[in-house]
Amino acid sequence: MTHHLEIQELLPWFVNGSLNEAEQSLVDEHLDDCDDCSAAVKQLIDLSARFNSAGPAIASPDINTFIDNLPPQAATVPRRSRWQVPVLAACALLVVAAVSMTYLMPDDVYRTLSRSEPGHHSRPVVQVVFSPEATEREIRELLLQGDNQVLSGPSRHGVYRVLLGQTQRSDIYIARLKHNPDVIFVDREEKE
Amino acid sequence: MSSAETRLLQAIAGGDKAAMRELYQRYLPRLGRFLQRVTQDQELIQEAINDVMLTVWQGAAAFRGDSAVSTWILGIAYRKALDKLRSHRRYHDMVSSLPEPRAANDATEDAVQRDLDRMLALLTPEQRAVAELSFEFGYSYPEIAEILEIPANTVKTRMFYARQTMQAWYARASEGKL
Repeated sequence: MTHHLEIQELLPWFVNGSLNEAEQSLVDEHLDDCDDCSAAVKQLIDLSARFNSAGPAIASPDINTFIDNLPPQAATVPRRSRWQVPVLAACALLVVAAVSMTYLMPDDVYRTLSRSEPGHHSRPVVQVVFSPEATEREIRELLLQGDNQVLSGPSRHGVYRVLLGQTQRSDIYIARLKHNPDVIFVDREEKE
Repeated sequence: MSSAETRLLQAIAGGDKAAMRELYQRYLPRLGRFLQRVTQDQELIQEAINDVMLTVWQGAAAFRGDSAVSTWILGIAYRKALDKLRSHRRYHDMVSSLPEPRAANDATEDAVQRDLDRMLALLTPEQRAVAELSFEFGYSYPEIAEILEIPANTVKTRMFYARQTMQAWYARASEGKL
Protein backbone atom coordinates (compact mmCIF):
# COMPACT_ATOMS: atom_id res chain seq x y z
CA MET A 1 0.00 0.00 0.00
CA THR A 2 2.78 2.36 0.93
CA HIS A 3 4.49 1.54 -2.33
CA HIS A 4 1.27 2.27 -4.23
CA LEU A 5 0.92 5.68 -2.57
CA GLU A 6 4.53 6.54 -3.28
CA ILE A 7 4.05 5.64 -6.93
CA GLN A 8 0.85 7.68 -7.10
CA GLU A 9 2.76 10.75 -5.94
CA LEU A 10 5.25 10.33 -8.79
CA LEU A 11 2.69 10.02 -11.58
CA PRO A 12 2.53 13.72 -12.59
CA TRP A 13 6.26 13.66 -13.23
CA PHE A 14 6.05 10.27 -14.91
CA VAL A 15 3.67 11.92 -17.35
CA ASN A 16 5.95 14.91 -17.99
CA GLY A 17 8.94 12.59 -18.39
CA SER A 18 11.13 14.18 -15.72
CA LEU A 19 11.60 11.23 -13.33
CA ASN A 20 15.04 9.74 -12.96
CA GLU A 21 15.68 6.27 -14.36
CA ALA A 22 15.11 4.41 -11.10
CA GLU A 23 11.80 6.17 -10.43
CA GLN A 24 10.74 5.69 -14.03
CA SER A 25 11.35 1.93 -13.77
CA LEU A 26 9.44 1.72 -10.49
CA VAL A 27 6.41 3.42 -12.00
CA ASP A 28 6.60 1.34 -15.18
CA GLU A 29 6.58 -1.91 -13.21
CA HIS A 30 3.76 -0.74 -10.95
CA LEU A 31 1.55 0.33 -13.86
CA ASP A 32 1.59 -3.21 -15.24
CA ASP A 33 -0.40 -4.38 -12.22
CA CYS A 34 -2.34 -1.34 -11.02
CA ASP A 35 -5.50 -0.28 -12.81
CA ASP A 36 -6.03 2.72 -10.53
CA CYS A 37 -2.66 4.20 -11.37
CA SER A 38 -3.10 3.45 -15.06
CA ALA A 39 -6.39 5.34 -15.01
CA ALA A 40 -4.72 8.19 -13.13
CA VAL A 41 -2.00 8.38 -15.79
CA LYS A 42 -4.63 8.70 -18.53
CA GLN A 43 -6.28 11.52 -16.63
CA LEU A 44 -2.94 13.25 -16.08
CA ILE A 45 -2.11 12.97 -19.79
CA ASP A 46 -5.44 14.63 -20.56
CA LEU A 47 -4.73 17.32 -17.99
CA SER A 48 -1.27 17.92 -19.40
CA ALA A 49 -2.74 18.27 -22.88
CA ARG A 50 -5.20 20.86 -21.57
CA PHE A 51 -2.36 22.87 -20.05
CA ASN A 52 -0.39 22.78 -23.27
CA SER A 53 -3.20 23.37 -25.74
CA ALA A 54 -4.95 26.19 -23.97
CA GLY A 55 -2.54 29.11 -23.79
CA PRO A 56 -4.07 32.18 -22.25
CA ALA A 57 -3.79 35.33 -24.33
CA ILE A 58 -1.37 37.72 -22.65
CA ALA A 59 -1.31 41.39 -23.58
CA SER A 60 2.30 42.36 -24.19
CA PRO A 61 3.69 45.01 -21.84
CA ASP A 62 5.40 48.11 -23.21
CA ILE A 63 9.00 46.93 -23.13
CA ASN A 64 10.41 50.19 -24.51
CA THR A 65 8.95 52.23 -21.67
CA PHE A 66 10.17 49.70 -19.15
CA ILE A 67 13.73 49.74 -20.55
CA ASP A 68 13.78 53.54 -20.81
CA ASN A 69 12.76 53.90 -17.17
CA LEU A 70 15.20 51.43 -15.66
CA PRO A 71 17.13 52.96 -12.78
CA PRO A 72 20.89 53.12 -13.20
CA GLN A 73 22.74 50.13 -11.87
CA ALA A 74 24.43 50.74 -8.55
CA ALA A 75 27.96 52.08 -8.94
CA THR A 76 30.36 49.25 -9.49
CA VAL A 77 32.20 48.63 -6.25
CA PRO A 78 34.76 45.92 -5.82
CA ARG A 79 32.71 42.90 -4.83
CA ARG A 80 33.92 40.47 -2.26
CA SER A 81 34.93 37.19 -3.80
CA ARG A 82 32.64 34.23 -3.20
CA TRP A 83 34.81 32.72 -0.48
CA GLN A 84 35.26 35.97 1.39
CA VAL A 85 31.60 36.47 2.17
CA PRO A 86 31.03 33.23 4.11
CA VAL A 87 34.41 33.57 5.82
CA LEU A 88 33.66 37.12 6.92
CA ALA A 89 30.17 36.11 7.97
CA ALA A 90 31.55 33.21 9.96
CA CYS A 91 34.10 35.47 11.66
CA ALA A 92 31.37 37.98 12.50
CA LEU A 93 29.24 35.19 13.89
CA LEU A 94 32.05 33.91 16.06
CA VAL A 95 32.65 37.36 17.52
CA VAL A 96 28.97 38.00 18.14
CA ALA A 97 28.47 34.55 19.60
CA ALA A 98 31.44 34.95 21.92
CA VAL A 99 30.25 38.35 23.13
CA SER A 100 26.72 37.12 23.52
CA MET A 101 27.70 34.08 25.52
CA THR A 102 30.04 36.03 27.78
CA TYR A 103 28.10 39.19 28.50
CA LEU A 104 24.63 39.27 27.14
CA MET A 105 22.90 35.96 27.57
CA PRO A 106 24.59 34.03 30.34
CA ASP A 107 21.38 32.28 31.31
CA ASP A 108 19.69 32.29 27.96
CA VAL A 109 19.71 29.92 25.02
CA TYR A 110 22.67 30.30 22.66
CA ARG A 111 21.46 32.25 19.66
CA THR A 112 23.06 32.24 16.22
CA LEU A 113 22.10 34.18 13.14
CA SER A 114 20.58 31.07 11.62
CA ARG A 115 19.34 28.45 14.03
CA SER A 116 17.15 25.72 12.66
CA GLU A 117 13.89 25.20 14.46
CA PRO A 118 12.12 21.88 14.05
CA GLY A 119 8.39 21.67 13.47
CA HIS A 120 5.82 24.36 12.88
CA HIS A 121 5.93 27.86 14.26
CA SER A 122 3.12 29.71 15.95
CA ARG A 123 4.68 33.04 14.98
CA PRO A 124 4.77 34.36 11.39
CA VAL A 125 7.74 33.49 9.20
CA VAL A 126 8.91 36.13 6.72
CA GLN A 127 11.10 35.66 3.65
CA VAL A 128 13.58 38.42 2.81
CA VAL A 129 15.98 38.94 -0.12
CA PHE A 130 18.58 41.70 0.05
CA SER A 131 20.26 43.67 -2.70
CA PRO A 132 23.90 42.77 -3.33
CA GLU A 133 24.90 46.14 -1.89
CA ALA A 134 23.55 45.31 1.58
CA THR A 135 26.33 44.72 4.08
CA GLU A 136 26.45 41.92 6.61
CA ARG A 137 25.78 44.42 9.37
CA GLU A 138 22.77 45.91 7.62
CA ILE A 139 21.36 42.46 6.97
CA ARG A 140 21.87 41.47 10.60
CA GLU A 141 20.25 44.65 11.90
CA LEU A 142 17.23 44.29 9.65
CA LEU A 143 16.69 40.63 10.30
CA LEU A 144 17.33 40.51 14.02
CA GLN A 145 15.07 43.36 15.05
CA GLY A 146 13.49 42.78 18.45
CA ASP A 147 13.47 39.11 19.28
CA ASN A 148 13.36 37.86 15.69
CA GLN A 149 15.20 34.70 14.82
CA VAL A 150 16.73 33.76 11.48
CA LEU A 151 15.64 30.22 10.68
CA SER A 152 17.71 29.77 7.53
CA GLY A 153 19.49 31.65 4.80
CA PRO A 154 20.76 32.87 2.61
CA SER A 155 19.48 30.19 0.27
CA ARG A 156 20.84 29.71 -3.24
CA HIS A 157 18.60 32.54 -4.31
CA GLY A 158 19.54 34.75 -1.39
CA VAL A 159 16.37 34.15 0.63
CA TYR A 160 16.48 34.49 4.43
CA ARG A 161 13.64 32.99 6.50
CA VAL A 162 12.93 34.93 9.67
CA LEU A 163 10.72 33.84 12.54
CA LEU A 164 9.21 37.04 13.92
CA GLY A 165 9.48 37.54 17.64
CA GLN A 166 6.63 38.08 20.07
CA THR A 167 7.07 41.84 19.91
CA GLN A 168 6.90 42.09 16.10
CA ARG A 169 3.77 42.65 14.03
CA SER A 170 4.32 41.06 10.65
CA ASP A 171 2.47 43.73 8.64
CA ILE A 172 4.49 46.53 10.20
CA TYR A 173 7.79 44.64 9.89
CA ILE A 174 7.12 43.82 6.22
CA ALA A 175 6.02 47.38 5.42
CA ARG A 176 9.17 48.74 7.05
CA LEU A 177 11.43 46.42 5.09
CA LYS A 178 9.62 47.12 1.82
CA HIS A 179 10.68 50.74 2.12
CA ASN A 180 14.30 49.85 2.76
CA PRO A 181 16.40 50.23 -0.42
CA ASP A 182 18.56 47.27 0.59
CA VAL A 183 15.57 44.92 0.47
CA ILE A 184 14.63 43.46 -2.92
CA PHE A 185 11.84 41.22 -1.69
CA VAL A 186 9.97 40.66 1.54
CA ASP A 187 6.84 38.65 2.16
CA ARG A 188 5.15 36.53 4.76
CA GLU A 189 5.62 32.79 4.30
CA GLU A 190 2.46 30.75 4.00
CA LYS A 191 1.99 27.87 6.40
CA GLU A 192 1.92 24.44 4.80
CA MET B 1 22.71 26.11 -17.38
CA SER B 2 22.48 28.29 -20.47
CA SER B 3 25.78 30.11 -20.78
CA ALA B 4 24.15 32.60 -23.14
CA GLU B 5 21.66 33.56 -20.45
CA THR B 6 24.40 33.75 -17.84
CA ARG B 7 26.32 36.11 -20.11
CA LEU B 8 23.17 38.17 -20.55
CA LEU B 9 22.85 38.48 -16.78
CA GLN B 10 26.48 39.52 -16.46
CA ALA B 11 25.89 42.22 -19.06
CA ILE B 12 22.74 43.32 -17.23
CA ALA B 13 24.69 43.56 -13.99
CA GLY B 14 26.98 45.97 -15.82
CA GLY B 15 24.06 48.16 -16.84
CA ASP B 16 23.59 46.89 -20.41
CA LYS B 17 20.00 47.77 -21.33
CA ALA B 18 20.16 45.96 -24.67
CA ALA B 19 20.92 42.75 -22.79
CA MET B 20 18.01 43.51 -20.48
CA ARG B 21 15.73 43.95 -23.45
CA GLU B 22 16.86 40.62 -24.93
CA LEU B 23 16.29 38.77 -21.67
CA TYR B 24 12.91 40.44 -21.23
CA GLN B 25 11.77 39.40 -24.71
CA ARG B 26 13.13 35.89 -24.22
CA TYR B 27 11.21 35.38 -20.95
CA LEU B 28 8.04 37.32 -21.71
CA PRO B 29 6.00 34.36 -23.05
CA ARG B 30 7.04 32.01 -20.22
CA LEU B 31 6.56 34.61 -17.50
CA GLY B 32 3.24 35.76 -18.89
CA ARG B 33 1.87 32.26 -18.96
CA PHE B 34 3.23 31.31 -15.56
CA LEU B 35 1.96 34.48 -13.88
CA GLN B 36 -1.42 34.20 -15.56
CA ARG B 37 -1.86 30.67 -14.31
CA VAL B 38 -0.72 31.42 -10.77
CA THR B 39 -2.56 34.72 -10.32
CA GLN B 40 -5.58 34.01 -12.55
CA ASP B 41 -5.78 37.75 -12.96
CA GLN B 42 -5.00 39.52 -16.25
CA GLU B 43 -4.79 42.89 -14.54
CA LEU B 44 -1.89 41.83 -12.39
CA ILE B 45 0.21 40.21 -15.08
CA GLN B 46 1.82 43.16 -16.85
CA GLU B 47 2.63 44.85 -13.57
CA ALA B 48 4.02 41.59 -12.19
CA ILE B 49 6.16 40.96 -15.29
CA ASN B 50 7.73 44.40 -14.97
CA ASP B 51 8.28 43.85 -11.24
CA VAL B 52 10.03 40.55 -11.95
CA MET B 53 12.21 42.11 -14.61
CA LEU B 54 13.06 45.07 -12.39
CA THR B 55 14.18 42.63 -9.69
CA VAL B 56 16.27 40.82 -12.30
CA TRP B 57 17.84 44.14 -13.30
CA GLN B 58 18.59 45.06 -9.70
CA GLY B 59 19.64 41.61 -8.60
CA ALA B 60 21.66 40.43 -11.63
CA ALA B 61 24.93 41.16 -9.88
CA ALA B 62 23.89 38.91 -7.01
CA PHE B 63 23.16 35.92 -9.24
CA ARG B 64 25.75 33.35 -8.26
CA GLY B 65 25.17 30.79 -10.97
CA ASP B 66 24.33 28.01 -8.53
CA SER B 67 21.10 27.35 -10.41
CA ALA B 68 19.84 27.88 -13.95
CA VAL B 69 18.89 31.44 -14.85
CA SER B 70 15.35 30.22 -15.60
CA THR B 71 15.09 28.67 -12.13
CA TRP B 72 16.16 31.94 -10.54
CA ILE B 73 13.76 34.06 -12.62
CA LEU B 74 10.76 31.76 -12.14
CA GLY B 75 11.45 31.76 -8.40
CA ILE B 76 11.31 35.56 -8.42
CA ALA B 77 8.12 35.42 -10.49
CA TYR B 78 6.47 33.03 -8.05
CA ARG B 79 7.20 35.25 -5.06
CA LYS B 80 6.09 38.36 -6.95
CA ALA B 81 2.85 36.64 -7.94
CA LEU B 82 2.02 35.78 -4.33
CA ASP B 83 3.03 39.28 -3.26
CA LYS B 84 0.71 40.80 -5.87
CA LEU B 85 -2.19 38.58 -4.90
CA ARG B 86 -1.88 39.43 -1.25
CA SER B 87 -1.43 43.13 -1.82
CA HIS B 88 -4.58 43.17 -3.91
CA ARG B 89 -6.41 41.46 -1.03
CA ARG B 90 -7.80 38.87 -3.38
CA TYR B 91 -5.74 35.99 -2.18
CA HIS B 92 -8.33 34.18 -0.10
CA ASP B 93 -11.31 35.17 -2.19
CA MET B 94 -9.79 33.68 -5.32
CA VAL B 95 -9.57 30.20 -3.92
CA SER B 96 -13.31 29.81 -3.81
CA SER B 97 -14.40 32.06 -6.69
CA LEU B 98 -14.60 31.20 -10.35
CA PRO B 99 -13.31 33.50 -13.11
CA GLU B 100 -15.62 35.15 -15.58
CA PRO B 101 -15.69 33.27 -18.90
CA ARG B 102 -13.76 35.04 -21.65
CA ALA B 103 -15.48 36.12 -24.84
CA ALA B 104 -15.42 33.17 -27.22
CA ASN B 105 -13.50 33.60 -30.45
CA ASP B 106 -12.49 30.07 -31.22
CA ALA B 107 -15.21 27.98 -29.62
CA THR B 108 -13.21 24.77 -29.09
CA GLU B 109 -10.00 26.31 -27.84
CA ASP B 110 -11.90 28.77 -25.73
CA ALA B 111 -13.95 26.02 -24.13
CA VAL B 112 -10.78 24.13 -23.22
CA GLN B 113 -9.25 27.29 -21.77
CA ARG B 114 -12.42 28.08 -19.85
CA ASP B 115 -12.62 24.58 -18.41
CA LEU B 116 -9.02 24.75 -17.33
CA ASP B 117 -9.50 28.19 -15.80
CA ARG B 118 -12.51 26.96 -13.83
CA MET B 119 -10.62 23.96 -12.56
CA LEU B 120 -7.49 25.95 -11.69
CA ALA B 121 -9.59 28.52 -9.85
CA LEU B 122 -10.38 25.81 -7.32
CA LEU B 123 -6.69 25.45 -6.45
CA THR B 124 -4.58 27.70 -4.28
CA PRO B 125 -1.96 29.86 -6.05
CA GLU B 126 0.74 27.64 -4.56
CA GLN B 127 -0.90 24.51 -5.98
CA ARG B 128 -1.38 26.21 -9.35
CA ALA B 129 2.32 27.05 -9.47
CA VAL B 130 3.25 23.39 -8.91
CA ALA B 131 0.75 22.22 -11.53
CA GLU B 132 1.87 24.80 -14.09
CA LEU B 133 5.57 24.09 -13.61
CA SER B 134 4.88 20.36 -13.94
CA PHE B 135 2.38 20.11 -16.77
CA GLU B 136 3.19 23.17 -18.84
CA PHE B 137 6.92 23.67 -18.19
CA GLY B 138 7.82 20.00 -17.70
CA TYR B 139 9.98 20.54 -14.61
CA SER B 140 10.86 17.66 -12.30
CA TYR B 141 9.72 17.84 -8.68
CA PRO B 142 13.26 18.55 -7.40
CA GLU B 143 13.53 21.43 -9.88
CA ILE B 144 10.16 22.79 -8.75
CA ALA B 145 11.34 22.54 -5.15
CA GLU B 146 14.34 24.65 -6.09
CA ILE B 147 12.27 27.25 -7.94
CA LEU B 148 9.68 27.62 -5.18
CA GLU B 149 12.26 27.20 -2.40
CA ILE B 150 10.28 24.50 -0.65
CA PRO B 151 11.15 20.89 0.21
CA ALA B 152 10.58 18.28 -2.52
CA ASN B 153 8.03 16.55 -0.29
CA THR B 154 6.03 19.78 -0.09
CA VAL B 155 5.93 19.85 -3.90
CA LYS B 156 4.48 16.34 -3.85
CA THR B 157 2.00 17.28 -1.13
CA ARG B 158 0.78 20.34 -3.04
CA MET B 159 0.40 18.26 -6.17
CA PHE B 160 -1.43 15.56 -4.20
CA TYR B 161 -4.08 18.00 -2.96
CA ALA B 162 -4.26 19.73 -6.33
CA ARG B 163 -4.94 16.38 -7.99
CA GLN B 164 -7.66 15.56 -5.46
CA THR B 165 -9.41 18.82 -6.31
CA MET B 166 -8.94 18.32 -10.04
CA GLN B 167 -10.19 14.74 -9.88
CA ALA B 168 -13.32 15.90 -8.09
CA TRP B 169 -13.78 18.47 -10.84
CA TYR B 170 -13.35 15.78 -13.50
CA ALA B 171 -15.93 13.59 -11.76
CA ARG B 172 -18.48 16.41 -11.62
CA ALA B 173 -17.75 17.32 -15.25
CA SER B 174 -18.34 13.73 -16.36
CA GLU B 175 -21.67 13.74 -14.52
CA GLY B 176 -22.64 16.96 -16.26
CA LYS B 177 -22.89 18.84 -12.98
CA LEU B 178 -20.70 21.79 -14.00
